[in-house]
Amino acid sequence: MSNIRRNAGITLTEIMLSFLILVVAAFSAAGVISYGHRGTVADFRQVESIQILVDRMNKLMNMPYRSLDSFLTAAGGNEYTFNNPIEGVILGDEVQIEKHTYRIHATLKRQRIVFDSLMELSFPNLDYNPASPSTWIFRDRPAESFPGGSNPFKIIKITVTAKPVGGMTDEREFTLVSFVADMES
Amino acid sequence: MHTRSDNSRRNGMALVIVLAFSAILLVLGIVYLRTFSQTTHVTRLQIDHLQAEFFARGIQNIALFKVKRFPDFFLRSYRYHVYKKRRESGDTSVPEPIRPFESISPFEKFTGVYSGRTNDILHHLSPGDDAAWGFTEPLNIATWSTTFNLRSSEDFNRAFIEIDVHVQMAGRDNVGHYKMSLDASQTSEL
Repeated sequence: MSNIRRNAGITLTEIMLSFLILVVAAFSAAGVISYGHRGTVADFRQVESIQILVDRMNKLMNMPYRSLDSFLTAAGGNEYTFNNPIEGVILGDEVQIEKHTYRIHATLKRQRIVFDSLMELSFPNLDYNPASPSTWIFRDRPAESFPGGSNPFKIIKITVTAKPVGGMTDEREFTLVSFVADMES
Repeated sequence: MHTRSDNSRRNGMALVIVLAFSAILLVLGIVYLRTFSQTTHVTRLQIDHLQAEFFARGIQNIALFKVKRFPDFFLRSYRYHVYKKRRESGDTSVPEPIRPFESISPFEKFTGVYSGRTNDILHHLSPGDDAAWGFTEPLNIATWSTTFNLRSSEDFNRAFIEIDVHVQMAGRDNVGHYKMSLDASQTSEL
């Protein structure tokens, strides 16, 4: 009888200790799952913001150079960050896409470039025959730069950024950069 | 009679079961976090790849602009380059040049980089110019380069310009290769 009582008491302590361990383990597991869930949601928003970036960048790159240049002319500078829609390209500080919100900006900049080390055919050349390269003589010619002013810019740099906002975690901002050239002048 | 021995065996069983259960939970948690961290890594690789691709497309546009700006010079310098290669390889079917070849061919000069000149807007702009012009910012690009090729047929009356851009992002081993191919057929002006 005394043995039974002793054994029964040990079992109660054991159950209480086990329950305590189980509670700690369950709360830890819930914390991990919650952290993972936040991470998964953040990851989804990041993937979505990458898709938004690609979409906006493709739309801007497909615009004619003169349209992009006219946006800068209207903005009154050689560089401007747009945070409102332009020509159907949706930009903004809080762009709602389904359940999530994103900050999407596009910066246009007239980009200075220089083409150095150019050569050209040298004339007069009495032996010159257009069909025969052996008769061609080349000479250096001045570098050609497009710094604005009298020799206007010919390249526009496009920078698009997207960042998920209003989420449970502070998420990364993603950026894409490309260039559009004036092929029509 | 059997009470003592049965209870002795049961002593600690609940603890063992709970500890085993907790261990399983721990393993599941670690696997979950590991999977999540790998997904984040994939996202970073994906954005690096996209950054390189769009930057390369921009460089291809600048390279194409250069070709369109100096089309006659591009075609002639390329033909002269091919002619020089044939002469240097000992091809006697092509005539001698009326003036000796220069060490740096016109086509090499057109590409922007050659012996003694390693930086150009199409080939890893020098850090000073890059910073002054804000060319690559805010991207973190290790290096880039551009090559031109002209695939000809019908004695250069029909040709394809190939512009290849290689981009390597900082901190990455792999180099992205992006190719643009354009029909450069010559047509009569009406």
